[in-house]
Amino acid sequence: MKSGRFNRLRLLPIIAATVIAVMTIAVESCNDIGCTDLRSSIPLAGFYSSSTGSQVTIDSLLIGGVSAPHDSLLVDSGARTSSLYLPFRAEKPSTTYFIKYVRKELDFPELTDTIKFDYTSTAYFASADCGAMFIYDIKSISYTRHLIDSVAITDSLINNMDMERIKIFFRTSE
Amino acid sequence: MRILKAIIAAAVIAMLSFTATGQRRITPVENPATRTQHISKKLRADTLDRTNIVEKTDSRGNIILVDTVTGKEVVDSTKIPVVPPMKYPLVYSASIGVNVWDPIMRAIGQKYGLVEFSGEFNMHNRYIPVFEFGLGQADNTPDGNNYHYRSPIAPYFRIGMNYNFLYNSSPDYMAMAGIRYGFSPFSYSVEATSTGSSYWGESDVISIPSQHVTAGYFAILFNLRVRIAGPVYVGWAFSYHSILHESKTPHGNPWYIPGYGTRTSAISGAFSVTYTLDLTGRQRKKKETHLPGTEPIMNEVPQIYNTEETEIK
Repeated sequence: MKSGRFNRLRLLPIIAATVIAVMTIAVESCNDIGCTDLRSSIPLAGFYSSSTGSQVTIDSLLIGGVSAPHDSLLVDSGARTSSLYLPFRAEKPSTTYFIKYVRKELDFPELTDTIKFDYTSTAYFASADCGAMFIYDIKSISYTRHLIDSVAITDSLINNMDMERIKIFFRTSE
Repeated sequence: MRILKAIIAAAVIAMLSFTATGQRRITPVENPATRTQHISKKLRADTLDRTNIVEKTDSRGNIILVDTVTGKEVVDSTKIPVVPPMKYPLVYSASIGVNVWDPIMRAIGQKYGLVEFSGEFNMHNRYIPVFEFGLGQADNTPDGNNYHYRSPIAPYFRIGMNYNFLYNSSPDYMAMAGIRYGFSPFSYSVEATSTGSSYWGESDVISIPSQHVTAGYFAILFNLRVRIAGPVYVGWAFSYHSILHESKTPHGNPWYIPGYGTRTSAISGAFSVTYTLDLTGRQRKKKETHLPGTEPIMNEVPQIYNTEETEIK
């Protein structure tokens, strides 16, 4: 009888360790989902035709931030694009971008369009996997209307969900 | 002829004597058997002839036996489920326990959790109200990410009940399902560097000051418990839980909720050591003090007889 108890007590740590290991693997595998969104809040803007309302791909554009370091660009002239991310300045209440058209018949400085976003930024903890970031609440938009027809915001809250929230409608020919 | 008369006379005497003996033996005697004879006759009258029986089920799910000859219908009482009686008293035992799951997990790298204590009151070895109290804390700087998450030590509380499926079996083994409601007032803060676009060349520091949150949640669990020695039990539990309510902050949701675990953890585990106090006011029987499966087959050791050869005188 004593030997039975002794054997049982000797086996107990092994049984406990095995159960804990199995439970740990099960718990962790059930709980590990990873970051399925972006790790920062960057608004995605899409280009649309004002005449048809459909998304368009535009070339011969230069797009960059006003006062960006080294006059760096987001889109260079050789690129064809139908959408792009427009990162906001977290420590500033607004961010302004310019769109310069470099096609020969449009390549005049006075035709360059600008879009200014005014917003508030808030420090935000998204999740353990996606981390911490700033989120933005767009308060207003102002823009020139040389070749831009209008700018629409589908959702003023910019967080790390990868979805298009800004629509830029250009005057395009049929 | 004489001989024939003698035989006939002997036969008559023998018959008379047997008759007299038989009459003495059939003298009416009132005994329990004779008193219940009329009941037996009635029962025989109610008994169905099994050769003519068909079964059918009524709207309540009872099995009805129908005698196809007489048309008599009887509920088959052998098929009616019998609710087993409670084997153990209402006030059966009380327990205190410690959940060492989090300390063990922290030793192998988990970044949250401290320790938990529980108190239980066992009724009929079946219904077990539970109160749990614990302390939680988190400090996490994950590799490959941009933040340092802190949640200082905070209490949490859970109340609920376990149901022991083995309530009429030996209390040395318990297989239980339970429900819990838990809540915790706690706070958290985050320090991080921005991982946003480097386009603007600005290195932003993200600072979320201490946020005070109260969160409540429910849990359903399955729990196995085994007595290992005397009043000491060990138990393993799996629980599924979900947040019912929590305070909203403008800086997002907390990663860790004391007593709940991380917010993405729908499943958690527990490993508990429990001390149980018998409240029945009696000593446990000697045979119950043996470990499960090690009970002696015979209560008394048979006498060992002297096997030495004895001298025959």
